[in-house]
Amino acid sequence: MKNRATDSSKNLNELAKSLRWEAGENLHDHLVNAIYEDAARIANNTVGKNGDTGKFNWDRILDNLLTSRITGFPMMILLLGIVFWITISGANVPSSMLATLLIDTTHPILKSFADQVGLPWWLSGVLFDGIYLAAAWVISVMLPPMAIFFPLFTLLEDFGYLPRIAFNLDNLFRRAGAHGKQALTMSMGFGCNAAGVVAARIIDSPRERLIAIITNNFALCNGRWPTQILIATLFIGVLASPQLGGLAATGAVVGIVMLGIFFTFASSWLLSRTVLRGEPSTFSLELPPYRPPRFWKTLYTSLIDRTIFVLWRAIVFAVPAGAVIWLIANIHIGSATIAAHLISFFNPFGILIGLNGVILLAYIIAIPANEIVIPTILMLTVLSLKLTGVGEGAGVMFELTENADYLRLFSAAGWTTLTAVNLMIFSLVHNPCSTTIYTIYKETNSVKWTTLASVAPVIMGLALCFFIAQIWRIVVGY
Amino acid sequence: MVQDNICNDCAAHSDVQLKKLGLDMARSDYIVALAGNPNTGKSTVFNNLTGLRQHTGNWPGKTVSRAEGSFSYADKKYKLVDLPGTYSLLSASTDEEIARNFILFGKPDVTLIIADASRLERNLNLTLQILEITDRAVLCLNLIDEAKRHGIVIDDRNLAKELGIPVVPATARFGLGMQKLLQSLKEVATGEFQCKPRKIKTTSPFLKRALNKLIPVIEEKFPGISNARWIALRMLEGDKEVMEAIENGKLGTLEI
Amino acid sequence: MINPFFALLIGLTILGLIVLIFLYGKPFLNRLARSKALSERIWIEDALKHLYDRNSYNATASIDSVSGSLNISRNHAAQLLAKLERLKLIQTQKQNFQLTAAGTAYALRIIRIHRLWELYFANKTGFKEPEWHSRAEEVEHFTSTEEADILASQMGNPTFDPHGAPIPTTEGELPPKAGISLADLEMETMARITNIEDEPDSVFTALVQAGLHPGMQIQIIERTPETVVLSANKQHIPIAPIAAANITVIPHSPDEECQEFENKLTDLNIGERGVVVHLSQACRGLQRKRLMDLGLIPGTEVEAAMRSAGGNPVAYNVRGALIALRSEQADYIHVRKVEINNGTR
Repeated sequence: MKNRATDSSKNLNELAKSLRWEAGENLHDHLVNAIYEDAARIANNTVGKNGDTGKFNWDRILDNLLTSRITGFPMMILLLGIVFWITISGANVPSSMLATLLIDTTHPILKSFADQVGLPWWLSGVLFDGIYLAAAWVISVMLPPMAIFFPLFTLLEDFGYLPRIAFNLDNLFRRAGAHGKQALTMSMGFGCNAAGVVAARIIDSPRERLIAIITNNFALCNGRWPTQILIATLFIGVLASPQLGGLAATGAVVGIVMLGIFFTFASSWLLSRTVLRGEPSTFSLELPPYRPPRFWKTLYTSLIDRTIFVLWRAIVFAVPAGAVIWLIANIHIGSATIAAHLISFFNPFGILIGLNGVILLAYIIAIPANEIVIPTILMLTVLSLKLTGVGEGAGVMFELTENADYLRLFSAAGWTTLTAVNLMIFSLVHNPCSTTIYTIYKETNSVKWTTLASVAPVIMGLALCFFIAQIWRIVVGY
Repeated sequence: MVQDNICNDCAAHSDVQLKKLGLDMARSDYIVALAGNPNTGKSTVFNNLTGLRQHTGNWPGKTVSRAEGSFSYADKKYKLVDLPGTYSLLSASTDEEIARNFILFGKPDVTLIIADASRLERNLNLTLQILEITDRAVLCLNLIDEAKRHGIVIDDRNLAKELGIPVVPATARFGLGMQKLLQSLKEVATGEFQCKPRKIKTTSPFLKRALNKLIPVIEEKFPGISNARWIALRMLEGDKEVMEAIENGKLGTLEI
Repeated sequence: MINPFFALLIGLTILGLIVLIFLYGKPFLNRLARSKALSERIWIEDALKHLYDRNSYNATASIDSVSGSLNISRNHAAQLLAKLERLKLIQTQKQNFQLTAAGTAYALRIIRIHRLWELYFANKTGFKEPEWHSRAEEVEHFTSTEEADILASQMGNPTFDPHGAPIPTTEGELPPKAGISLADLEMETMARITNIEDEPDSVFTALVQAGLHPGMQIQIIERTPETVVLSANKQHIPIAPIAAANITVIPHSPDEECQEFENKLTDLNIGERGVVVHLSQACRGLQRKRLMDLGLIPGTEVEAAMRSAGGNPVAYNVRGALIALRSEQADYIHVRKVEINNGTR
């Protein structure tokens, strides 16, 4: 029975094979044609037109406004500008409120509670100074801008505008070997790189999707904005006259963002012509009809789907980092803490590339979230200078309120304008945070591309800092 | 909507009620596969039936991974599987393979096809392909409001006759037509409604000749098979999985 | 602290080295990796392919033809042929080298692997047409029969390579040769290109650049000893007579439709409409299937709806949906313009 069955299957497959020689390679074409022909026949019998279509074609009118050569780009800049402006100006207040609540108020309460119940100092240190503070920091820096940015972006998406942005910008991205939709993953990246990487799903061409994922890191995410703004204000602002200080600092930050966009295009171009050359590539972009978004529903789903999702991932990664930060600052090997040993180990190389040991160590242990880089740098600086009276004690991250205090601390640690410039560069060009790395792995399912996306930017950043440092030293002096 | 309210009040029909069960998927009576072109409101229908809140953007290709949810209707539990939105099942991209394999090998009791009423013709491409694979399907003509706005009228009864499956006009964004959709799903799942799905008519002389040669052999080998034509087409395209399924006899046991 | 000049010098040197390795490293590494025994096998396989080609066209294979085709010295070619004879892969008949049954089987196996790889590069990767052949040449010698079978089944056991040549089956079967050489085609007879030989490289590249590809409908409108002028899609394409011999065609049966077209989709101005005549065969793989799934098949009416602000993708109204296509895609789609009769839509 079994034998006969296999026999006749063989015959069946043989028959199919001989027919396929006859078919040549156009069979697929024949088939799709047949299906569409039939679909057209059915549609002809069932779909009618209701005469009065002549009234108003809103879609065309909107499209003429939003995609024409004259008004397309100004409208885009206007709309995106509004989104970013609302995000930045709207996030400040809730951000500082959250910081007051979580860090200035709740943290001391937790500590005194620990003292009352008699927790050993090291346990309360790991739990509240390490883990709790790291999580609190991530939430207060990350939550407000994302809770504003993502819903706004989602409203534009539901309305149907985002595909038009991709449509308008595709020519630019095409020249870099990328897909127009990368404009959107990049914009999402300004909110959060992990969200930007997830958003790359909308690109259905394998090569262009990988490019969008790998280069997303060059979009300055909101965890890095505060670093840029702080350093630019402290070190670049003071180079100009007092009146122009704010302008110079803003200019420096905008410059960094532009540099990031430049790197996005440059590395897209390079990737599409080297390692990704053989990946299959196709372009398709459907422009859906405009639909009025349903405001509250959009608000709700974007908060749940994007904001909370990304925030949760960030907290999960920040928690162990908080513990590690506290532990290395408190466990002693010999006469010094682990942190001190590591700092003096990294320092020579750090100085060579125009940074220092503290900054390098901070970037290594703060991999989980860029938000905690500055607090970690502050804590480690105090630790390595063995200062007393500044900060909150070993392993406790903190921030200062006065710019003058920052400056005093940093110059005591030997920072120069070069350190500041290189820190800004390195903050833009270094490995993605571990949340993003994990997301890249989940999205690409490939160790190879995840490694490339993580390692290449660090090497680029280190090399960039190195060359800037040497040239700076030759031109400006130490 | 009005109908729903009437039913809320009448005790006799209280069993004919939609219960959104979200992620509770223990022991379902029927499995429903949700297929459709990208950006036709598939996720909206999914959310409407299950009470879950998957993000639905005006943007093709939102749902990438397979989402599942469940609901109960008329005392039966249904598991709803949201397949990736695709234009076709023939191009063998990953999305399409997931969708195709689920409809073919996952043996759903009903395949619910969501079509954009304002672009029916292009949506029929996928619909016809699905009808080649499976016998039990319901077509939901979603976005009827948008079609109306563009002055498009669809004769859904005639369409149902042409396709041989129930056709339900709906506006899922506002929950319109869901009651009738559930009714149709139930009828097809329980076998109350016998689908006579339309098979693709071809004018290509070569295809006709090749199919005429292959189909009798397949039908002879797998008596009672329902989608011999589709299998013949897949063989002509050299589909690896189908060829293997024939060679090891797996197909026969699967389909009968 | 290291002197910055010194550091800069070291840094630049390392950077320079990396760039050098990146640009020139690959051939160098290849040469290192290729052992002597292996390269001997590669020569043998290449020679067998050449002989199979010659035999199947009933052309003489000689030491000269081998040395010319493989780009090796006559001396080397003679040694190679002697070796093939010792291995009983070929036999000599009056200065003509003929493959034995074993030799034919070996050659067909390599040809199968070569054509499968070509198809793979054409359909499953983003490499451009001129690269398919050379990349296949590189990997064909390192692919076992089993690996080739896996490759074939992944691609749906294809029957033709991207140049239109049939792919031998695992058992070495080939369909009966169909079609005639373009050199033998009568004047002004419509015919369809079925195959373009991918060797020698220079001739093939010239033909591709002239815009010829399998599936195209052509006719000869002028034949002189110097050139053959083809007419395809209302364009005149002159080619060298020697290149014409590398093209296989099938003359049209009377009932076959002519796929004449005048325009590419890119020729439509905004607001103009056209009916798709066909999709160029040069558009392959994922790209082709995607376009067809979107409804761009013969008979579909398409309207150029709007140009993007950036200029390049143009959105077309295809069966009720706005689909943006880049110009290089729209070039693949051949249309017949529709006269606008006072705006019916």
